[in-house]
Amino acid sequence: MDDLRSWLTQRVASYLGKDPSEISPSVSLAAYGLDSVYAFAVCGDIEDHFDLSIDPTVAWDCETIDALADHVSTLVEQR
Amino acid sequence: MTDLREVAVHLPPRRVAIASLQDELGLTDPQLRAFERFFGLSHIRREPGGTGFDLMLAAAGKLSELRGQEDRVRYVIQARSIPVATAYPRSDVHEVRRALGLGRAEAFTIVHQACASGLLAVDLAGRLLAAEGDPDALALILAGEKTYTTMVRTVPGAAVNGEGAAALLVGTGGGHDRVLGYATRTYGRFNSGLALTDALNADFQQVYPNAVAEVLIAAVDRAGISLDDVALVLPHNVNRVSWVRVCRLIGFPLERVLLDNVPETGHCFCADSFINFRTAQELGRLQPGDRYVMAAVGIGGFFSAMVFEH
Repeated sequence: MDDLRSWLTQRVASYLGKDPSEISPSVSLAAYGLDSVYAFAVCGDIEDHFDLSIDPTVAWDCETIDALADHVSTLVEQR
Repeated sequence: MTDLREVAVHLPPRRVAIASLQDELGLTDPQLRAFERFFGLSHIRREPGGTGFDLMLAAAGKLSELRGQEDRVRYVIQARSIPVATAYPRSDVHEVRRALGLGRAEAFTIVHQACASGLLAVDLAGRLLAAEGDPDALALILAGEKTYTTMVRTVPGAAVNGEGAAALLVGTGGGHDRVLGYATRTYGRFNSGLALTDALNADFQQVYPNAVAEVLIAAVDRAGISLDDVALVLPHNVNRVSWVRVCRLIGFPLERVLLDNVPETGHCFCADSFINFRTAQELGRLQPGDRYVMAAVGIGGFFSAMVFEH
């Protein structure tokens, strides 16, 4: 789970142009200025990296990295 | 009761891949990928060298029921999203009126609800015609705009805008598509449109599906039916994923939202639902007696839905 959270943090940080250490997994992605299009870009990264299909509404439903990590973890376990 | 006599559409033949517009639209690689992969966007139509006049006249020229009925047309209403598109004193809507020989018609433009102005125009046309008291009187509605400037070629974070036009002949009896109900709601706090602050933009993203759902439900309620009775939703073609979200919220089957044109035309300002109406007809998606809903959202916080019976 920590690896997943770390990977997601790196992806989000890359889109925000920030260092991963500046991103808290419990803070809303919108609060960092990550707009919905980049949230979808993260969804695309998840699909490619884990070879799974993700519901696009996740971009709105999962507001933090912690929530995203929980969701992806569940999907991977269900596979 | 307001009804549609005929709907005609003109889509410029030139298909343009949005990937080829990446630099022009200032899209980053991740943004383009999200647009193509999740938003369902692929191509738009453009008519280089064509004018707004050409676009509207091409659609209106396909209205077979207009021929020989020109003197019955009392109003020509252009529904626009972009307030200014020609230099004064030129006016596309007046030039189209003249070109079609609609000498008895009063011509004007409405922009009050941005991309939701198309449905407003149908409602307004019905009210004006009803006030005339002449059951033979008609109104011509024109929708569809040029994407002259970079600023109007996208809705940032939501859509790529294309060129395409629709022309509607509206009456108050005898038409084949009757208006059963109309609902519109304005969220004034989003009035700055494309210039929303980050906080207001985040607010808009959250409000959006609920606001669409609210007008859909209000419109079917005014029509005296329920969402279960709706055979088809003719949406705006902003993107696919926003309709996935709305459908999930209201428990409406996504397959009953006609999304076929999202990858083909992108968002054509006020004309989307009308373009989709023609597509529904061509695909045999509307049967006599079907109730269907046209839905539109205008930048600035305008949400509208109109229920028809085919």
